[in-house]
Amino acid sequence: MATRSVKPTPRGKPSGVPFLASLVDVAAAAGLHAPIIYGGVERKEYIVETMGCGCAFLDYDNDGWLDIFVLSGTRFASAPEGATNRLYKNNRDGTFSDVTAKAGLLRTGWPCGVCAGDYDNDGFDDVFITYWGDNVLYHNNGDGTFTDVTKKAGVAANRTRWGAGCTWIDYDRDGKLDLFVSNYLDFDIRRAQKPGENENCRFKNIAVNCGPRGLPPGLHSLFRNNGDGTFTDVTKAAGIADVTGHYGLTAVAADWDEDGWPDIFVACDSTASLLLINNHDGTFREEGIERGAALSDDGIEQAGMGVGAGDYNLDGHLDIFKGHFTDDTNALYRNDGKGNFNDVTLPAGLGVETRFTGWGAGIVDLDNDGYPDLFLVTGNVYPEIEAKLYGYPYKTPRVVFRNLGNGKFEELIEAAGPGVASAHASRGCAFGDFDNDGDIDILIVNMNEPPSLLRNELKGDNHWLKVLLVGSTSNRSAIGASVIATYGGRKQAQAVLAQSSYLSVNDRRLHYGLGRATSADLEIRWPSGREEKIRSVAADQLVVVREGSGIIRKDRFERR
Amino acid sequence: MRYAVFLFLGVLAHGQDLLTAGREALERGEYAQAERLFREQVAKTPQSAEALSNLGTVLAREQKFDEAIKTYERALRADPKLTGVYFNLGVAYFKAVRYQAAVTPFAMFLKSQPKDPRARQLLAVSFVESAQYQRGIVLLEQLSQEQPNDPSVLFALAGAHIRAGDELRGKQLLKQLDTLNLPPASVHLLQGMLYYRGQQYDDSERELQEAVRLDPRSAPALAALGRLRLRVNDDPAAIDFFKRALAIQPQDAESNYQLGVLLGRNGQEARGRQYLIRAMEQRANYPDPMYFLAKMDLNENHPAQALKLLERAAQIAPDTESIRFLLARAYKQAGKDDLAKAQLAEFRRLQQKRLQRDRKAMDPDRPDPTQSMSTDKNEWR
Repeated sequence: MATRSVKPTPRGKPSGVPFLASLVDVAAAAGLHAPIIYGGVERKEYIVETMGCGCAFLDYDNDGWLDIFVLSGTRFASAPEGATNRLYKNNRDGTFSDVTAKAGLLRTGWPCGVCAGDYDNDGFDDVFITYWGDNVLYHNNGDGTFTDVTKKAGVAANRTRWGAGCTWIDYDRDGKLDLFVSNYLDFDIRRAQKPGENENCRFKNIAVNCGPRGLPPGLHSLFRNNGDGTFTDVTKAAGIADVTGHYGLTAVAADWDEDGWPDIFVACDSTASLLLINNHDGTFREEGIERGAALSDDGIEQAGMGVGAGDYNLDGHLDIFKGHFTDDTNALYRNDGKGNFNDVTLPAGLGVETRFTGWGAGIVDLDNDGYPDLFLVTGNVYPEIEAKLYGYPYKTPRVVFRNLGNGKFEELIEAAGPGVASAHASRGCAFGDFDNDGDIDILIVNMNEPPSLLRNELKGDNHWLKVLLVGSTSNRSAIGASVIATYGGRKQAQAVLAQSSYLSVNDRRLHYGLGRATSADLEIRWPSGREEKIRSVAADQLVVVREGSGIIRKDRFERR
Repeated sequence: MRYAVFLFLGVLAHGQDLLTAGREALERGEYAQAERLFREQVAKTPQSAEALSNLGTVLAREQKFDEAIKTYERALRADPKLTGVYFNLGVAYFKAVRYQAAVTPFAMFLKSQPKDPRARQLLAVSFVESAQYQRGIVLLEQLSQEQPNDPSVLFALAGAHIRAGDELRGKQLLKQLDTLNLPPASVHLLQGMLYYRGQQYDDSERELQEAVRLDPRSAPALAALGRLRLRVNDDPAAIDFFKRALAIQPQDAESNYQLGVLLGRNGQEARGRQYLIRAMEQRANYPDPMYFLAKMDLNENHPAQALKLLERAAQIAPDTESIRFLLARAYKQAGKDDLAKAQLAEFRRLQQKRLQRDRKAMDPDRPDPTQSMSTDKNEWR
């Protein structure tokens, strides 16, 4: 992670407009008690212990209720009992049951990222997990269990790596999900230097774990789906092998330049972030710097960890919100619709906050007013420094930048609820409606603590609409599809993603706050290239749209 | 350091009385009278190098450095062989804190008198103050060997090494200075600079505060305190320190630059711009203020102005990534896409080079990570 020592911009006067959402941590009541183990508690000797991991909101059993999958690491001294990733089944009453063992998902190690998608188009989401060590592909058997098919599928790396981001992506548009994996860096514990041993092992003159600067950056991978349960490593043929020198983390596959072919944005730590543009011929070219999405507006590398993808200014294009290290602003990049980005961090009012290190991030409409807000979880990486540097606490609050609707945002912490103000050392987070009540809730990974589950206690009578896409010609998960919803004179783009935030997976049901509007028109662009328009969809329901068949199901949720 | 001033004592038949009377007034410390007499003579013989040189001397004594510089330069145009006037001109520039401009006249003087210790020391300090540390250090090291007990030489040498990043040599010299009779404020200043280099910021601040307590007019200590405050984003305090430093040494390019940036980022862009321009004038090859001025120009959508500054900055500091990146932005903003592309390619090349350097520093013997490692895994996985 790199710090830029940026001074925060002055805060304006509060808008005075009430924020209708209030986020409350209900993890304990929901039964999420197991701590997420990740390295030392008081001190981190190695960078591996600091980066943490992601989590997922996914409906693994297709019962219409979001389940929870939380990654969890270990410790160098010895693995504490119960150090494993965990799958929690939604009991549909606000509580969850730990079904990890039954599902066959017990595993101890150093996991990093997770991405979910139905790679074999059998109707059930499969899960890929990156590790410092060996990555794992779990096939969802459709009966509540998973099988490790990594070797059989051919997606094991050919050497030990630190896998970080991953995303399913149908890059060749053949209807089958391929797999992209970003690797953070090469870390060999046998050669690792100790805190303080060189200039990359100090923070403000305090000895801390080394890196990432000075450590060899990771090399990223692309695997093409052969359609028979196996994959072929096409890293070299696709031009991914040429992209070197970046500490890759969260990978977000979406059609950023709106040419009908999915591209990949990779948030990179302490190096320029990547924008891999699809050449339509099975190859990619990297244009992050040229397209303005790689660096700060003065060309400085930032500590890109988490990525929110959404349409903050309602112009029908996907923008990027990226979390950074303490003493730096987070960044908001506006997309011109052709995949060229402008850094609008300061004009949007995000320069007010530089105190926290940002990780999981999202562009999500928390108060259903029709304007997507920004949400960020935070936490320092060095627990040992707070005793000496009071301005750098390890546990810090979450941050909401509420969208004021004029291209500007207002930072809210306490005003967004106790779950936001509460301080943790958080990493991944996932956005979704776990209680099916028509708003966005948030699942958060906390280092060496149980996860947080922020339930949105939304007031008011703003309307909303959820859209779940099911591919037919396109991949079944519809990953890579985008939907532009037009409501009340505004239009908002969203995309179906396999990974975003920080190494995490959001609810695949796209959620639109509609404000006062009671219906929306939908324009769907499927990964296959097909476009569909559906007029006047009534608000306050989930609509399931199958490619080529229109709406095949509607669910009205009860307000809880 | 005391500066000797070469008085032009040549005698010409014409106007001898005015010059003699002027020099006598100068000797008595009656500068206004001396100035009047010399001006009268210059009015009569405007091309007289002798008259101009004497007028320059009295103007310098009156601290009218800008006028003195102009007058010395006129004298040298009238007779370039007057080597002593080069020294006087150098001293005038030096006293006006225009160190970079002082370099050439001192060098010219040393051509005729290469062993003159005063000129060598002043030239060395001028190099150091214009951020040409190595050239200054070479000269000062020679001088310190010739005059091992001269505290002013050792002080200048210690400061030069510390500013050039050689803490170890700085510490050695500071120890050596302990035995000499150096003013305590100077010792605290050097110690503060050393701590700063060693990133011991609290200790640095303590030493520098002590230097300022002992000598409230220590502009280097005030400027260093400004930099310390800047480090922790304490902009109001940093601005105050730089203003105080500049009140004492208005020609300090670095303080002008820092203050310009600070004012610019605190909503006082117009004032910040003035300081940045001043910094650029004071140190001709100073890319930092050029970069920030260009940034302001780009924000105000004046890419042509920005390009002029950035192209110059890129010539001075061709391997500075941020300059290349901003130059690309400026070309793009000016609609010169091909040039923008070329700059971004250069920017990418520099980035890769830096990454390789970082890696080498961390682990020089590490094998190429693109090659397969052995299959054995560590026990914790």
